[in-house]
Order: sequence, then C-alpha cells, then structure tokens
Amino acid sequence: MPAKEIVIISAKGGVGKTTVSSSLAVLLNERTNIVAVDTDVDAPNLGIILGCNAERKIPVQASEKAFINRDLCDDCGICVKHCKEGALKMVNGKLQFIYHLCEGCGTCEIVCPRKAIEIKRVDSGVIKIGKSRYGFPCVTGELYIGEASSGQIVTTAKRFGSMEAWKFKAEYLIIDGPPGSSCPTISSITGSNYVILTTEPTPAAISDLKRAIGLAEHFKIPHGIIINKADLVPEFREEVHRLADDKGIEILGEIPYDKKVPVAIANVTPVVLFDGNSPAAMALKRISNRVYEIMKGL
Amino acid sequence: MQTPMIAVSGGKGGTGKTTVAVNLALAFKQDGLNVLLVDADVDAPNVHILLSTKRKKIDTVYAFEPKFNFDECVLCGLCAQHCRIHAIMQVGDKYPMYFPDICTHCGSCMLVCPTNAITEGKKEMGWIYEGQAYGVDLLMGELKLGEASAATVVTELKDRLEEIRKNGKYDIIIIDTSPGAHCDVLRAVMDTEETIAVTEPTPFGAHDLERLIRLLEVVESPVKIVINRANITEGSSVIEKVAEKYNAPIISRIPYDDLAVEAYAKGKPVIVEYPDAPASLAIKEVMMKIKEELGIAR
Repeated sequence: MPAKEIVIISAKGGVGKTTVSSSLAVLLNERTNIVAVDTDVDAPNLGIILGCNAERKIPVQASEKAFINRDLCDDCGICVKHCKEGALKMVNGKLQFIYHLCEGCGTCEIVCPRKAIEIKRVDSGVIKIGKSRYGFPCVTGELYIGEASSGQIVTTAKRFGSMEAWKFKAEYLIIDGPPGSSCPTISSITGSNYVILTTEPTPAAISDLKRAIGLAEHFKIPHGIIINKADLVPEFREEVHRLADDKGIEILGEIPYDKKVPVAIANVTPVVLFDGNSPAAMALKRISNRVYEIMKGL
Repeated sequence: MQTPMIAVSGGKGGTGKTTVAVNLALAFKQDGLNVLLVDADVDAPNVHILLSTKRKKIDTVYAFEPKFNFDECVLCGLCAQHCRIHAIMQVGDKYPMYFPDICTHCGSCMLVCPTNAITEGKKEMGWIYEGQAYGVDLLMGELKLGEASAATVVTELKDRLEEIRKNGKYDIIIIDTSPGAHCDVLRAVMDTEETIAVTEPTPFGAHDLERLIRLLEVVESPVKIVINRANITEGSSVIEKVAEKYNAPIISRIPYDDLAVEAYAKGKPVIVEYPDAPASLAIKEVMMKIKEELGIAR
C-alpha cells in the first residue's frame, strides 16, 4: 500500500507550518516509519531543523527559458509585445531580457522574424534525498532562486518522497507545504490524504485560513485545523472556532504561545525535542496522537 | 521625476512584512507625505485586514485562454506542438484536447494556428481593489482562489504603478510582496528604488533572506535589512552574517513589543494606536532613514 500523505499548509506564512511538521515528523516516527518531505521549495526550512543531509542530489529540469542570439537580434521589439511574463523589455531601443521572469512559453521564438530566439530546457531546482539526524528519510525540494516552475518541483519532491517511503516501508509522508494559495500549494495538496491547516488567531491569518480551507474543499481532501499561538488574542481564537464549527472542520488542537518555540528554532531542534515539557511541546504531542488516530481511520 | 517606490519583502513568511509595510506607509503619511500602499501578495492579501478597511473592486484581471472553433480546424497539430506545457494535446485525426488547468495563458497556440480555429478567449484570474485608510491610499490585488498564476495579477498592479508614478500624485509608493524568492517577488520588486527585507533572528529567517538577496541581485534594488522581533532569540548573528556576506546593511532591529501585538489584535496599526511604543519608534526611524536616502521631500 502506498504511504499516506499528510500535508501541512497555511496560506499565511510564518504561522508555524515548519514547527508543526518537524514536530509531527519526530513524534510519528516514534510510532511508525515516516518520510519527511519539504515542499516549501522556495524557502525550504524543514531540512534545516531536522538536520537532513543530502546523500543524493537530483537536478530537475522543470522549466524552459528563452535564449537570445545577439548576433541575429536587431532589437525590433516584436517579441516584447507577445511576452505575457514581462521578461522582455525595450530599454533605450535595446532588447533587455530578464531571465528569472521567463517561463519559456515560446511565443517570442514563434514571432521573432530573425529567428534569434531559441527555447532551451534548463535546471530549475534540485531534489535532495537523505536522512534526518533522527534517522528517518527526508526529501527536500529546492527551487533555484527566481525560478517559476515551483509546482513541478513540488510534485517531483513528493514523487521521490513516495519512492523513499516504498523503500523504507514508511506508512506516512509528512509534507511541509508552501505558503500562499497558488501553484505550489495546489501541487503540494494534490493527491494527498489529509491536509492540516495551520493558523493563528489574528485577522490576517484567519483571512488566509479561509483561502486554505477553500483549496482543501476544492480538491476534496479531508482536513483539520491547528491553532498556533492560540492564546494570542482570545476573540480571534473564538472566531477560528466559529469558522471551524460552521464548516464542520475539526480543530486538531491548539498550541499556546510559547517563547520556547523561537528559541528551539534558533537551536535548530524541533520544539518537542528541545523541551518536551514546554506547553507547545505538550500540545504538539496531543495533536500528534489525534492525527495518528485520524490517519488510522482513513 | 517619477515617484520613488520601495518594496517590503523578506524571504521567510510571517516575519512581519505586511505589518512593517502598513506602519511604514502610515509613518510617511504622519510625516506629511502622500503615500500609496500596494498589496502585491496576491495569494494571501492582508494589507486591508491589518488596516481593518473595506476594499472596493475596481477591475477584473483576465488572462488569455484559447477558444477553439473546430469547424476551422485542419488538424495540423501545430497548437499542440507549440504548447510547451502540454495543455493542448492532439492525436491522429481527433480535434485538439485542451486542459485549462495546465494552461499558462501564453497565447502560442493562437499565434501558430494557421486558420481561425483558435481565437482569443479570456479567463478571470483575479481582481484589483482600491481603498483608503488613515489618509493612505491603497491599491490591492487578489488572485482568484484555485488559480495558479499569481503573475497576471502582480503584472497588472505593476503596469498600473508605471502610470501612477508618472502623474506625481504621490511622494512615495510602498509595495508589500509575497514571501519567498520566486518570480512573483521579483515582479513586485522590479523598478523599485530599494527593498526593505523584513526578517527574524532565526536560521530560517537567515536562510530565506539569503535566497531573497540572491534573487534581487539581478535588479537594481539595494536590500536593506530590518530584523523584526529582534530580541525573541539571541540568534541575530545568523542575520549579521548574511548582511555582511552580501553587503546589505541592517537598518533596524525592531524589538518584540506587546503593544504591537495588542494593536494588531485590535486591527489597528501600532503606529496609530501606540505612537510611542518601541515598535512604532523603530518604524519611524526606518522611515526617516529611507526619506533621507531617497531624498524624498514634499
């Protein structure tokens, strides 16, 4: 049976995705075999806190880019009009190409009257496969800086995660998701078994939570909510509860604001191991138990 | 002269980008300047939420989508051949199949179609809003939920800004970006005078900040670092290392401030609610530094 995928997302950044996923990985690893996968390909931090090495590095050629032959280009500017990404610009009568904005769609190649543009496949990221310092396998997807093909790196990282799971007979993939609600987030939850929506009781996080719920509903994936820094603002904590009640979404648990959490990060250790008796660690242990129960039932 | 623009970014999510952008905008306003604040974090837009203000929809953003008229189709297969993302497939004597979820809206298919079998259709991608709070004008984008391409909405915002900055209505434009180091961050930062990178004193903050700085090496927007919640860990040295390596000055260390959290919870900017709070004073200092550097005056 293929490993089940648990994805931790939030839409809003910095509400605790990596804190939750690193602790869940460590705790679930005490009960069964897991693989940790970082699909926050644009700011991959799970591997840092879990101390993952890279036994193998697999480059991914997920994107294509335009290459301009300056000997043939006469700066006519026709390509600029057709570039929807804004990667081609005319600056003082000269064609300027902004590599990082190019998505390699090829319209410029099609319209160039002098055949000065060619689309070529390029490396857009790397998948790192190794072991965490706690012994379980981990897979990190890393998008090269400025690249646009984040969704494909996410999908590739998950695929390698599944292969590691098969190799090590792992039951679960613990997948740290990207922030936002666009391409990479959609890729991270696609085909997954359970989505954990991490939030905090602030207006901005609640607004983004609604977007994250929308995605989970859209792709019909079972989901539950974790309220991080739950005691930060009581009235917004209640609002998250109301939202969850209205939508019939389970609150998997609440993590109190705990000054040990940033200190654990600064010490590059999941909080449940940094101080197992801290309030945040205790809450994460209860959450892990609940997630384990839910996954058994799926 | 064009109105100067600055971007507020940072790499890691949840470091306080939007909080800094909003309060910085208000600091400029309190100083007597005309300010436009732009929300370019279109897949998790929060500027209006932090300001507790209603947005007014002023426009819808559309992207190209092919419209097929099979009466005109000669089954040449060119559209499928040029669709590099494989959103169009054509097999044998069957009409092309179109997969709208994969389409990146580039328009290549229409360009290469030798007949009128493909015409320009449009797909709703998101919306542009305007608003006002505490005398600061707001321009905001939002990506439609379930759509993957934030680029279309960010590009629309930037196109508008190109016009707005010519008309002299504003003394300064502040752009709040999404987290990460991807092409949509670059799009938001392009053509700005400088980038304020808001980070936190943890290894995550340092790692993601470094990615952002490397992304921005291709544009002429010098990075100035702001360490937010600078005293939550004793880990500022990791940020100092990045600052030194890339010659990016740390211009402020905003302390963790209970008053800032309290104001945030009330949905009010701290600089308005508690003008003398440590966080407010730090933001004002940042404002003065920027003003001086860019030579902004009324």
